[in-house]
Amino acid sequence: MKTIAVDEETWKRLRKLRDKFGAKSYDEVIDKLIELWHKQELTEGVEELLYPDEKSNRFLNYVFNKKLMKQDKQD
Amino acid sequence: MIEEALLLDSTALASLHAESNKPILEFILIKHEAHISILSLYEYLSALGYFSEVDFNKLYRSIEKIYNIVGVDQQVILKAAELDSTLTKVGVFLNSVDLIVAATAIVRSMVLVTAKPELYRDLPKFGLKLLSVEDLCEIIRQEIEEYVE
Repeated sequence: MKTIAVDEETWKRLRKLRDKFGAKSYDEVIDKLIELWHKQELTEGVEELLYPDEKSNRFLNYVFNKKLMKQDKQD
Repeated sequence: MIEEALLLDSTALASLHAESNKPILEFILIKHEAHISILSLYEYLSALGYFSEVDFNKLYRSIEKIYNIVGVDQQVILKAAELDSTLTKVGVFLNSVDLIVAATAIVRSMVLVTAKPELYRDLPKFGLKLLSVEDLCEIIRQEIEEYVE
């Protein structure tokens, strides 16, 4: 185990979160916060990479048809 | 429940990044290990660039944030060459990118996810674990239901 120092205010906020999460330790609280941060990052990341269904379908057909064209050339 | 890491090909990327698949995609990225081959990324970026003006650098950085991008190494090339020569001998000609992507999945023990399983139909007998986007979505829907309960 490693020790980290936090100021009084942060410690109070961590203690509140520990109660909210029902966590048994601060290690668990920090772990949960890291997990939530990753989820948030992923959700934001996904958001900017989504396309309307019709457009996605066009991308899919483009990729697939190009693959078939390459196969035909090889034949 | 899928235990192995997933490798999405370019058709899976195109399909899963549709707005209607948002909850499924988010669940996959949070609960599973999702990878893409650098070659699938090239194919997908090329499709995006064909239909509209895109900033390729920005897109690459955004994709890199949510996926593990897998490069092509010696082991993958050797496996792809082995598959290619074996299949060519029996008159089966596969696209080089598909062969390399399939070889990546085999070498790294990943499940290859595709929206077009017919592209890889000759490869499961060589050890390729293949999953259609359709089947993956069904599995993920069940996982979401269990997670909510």
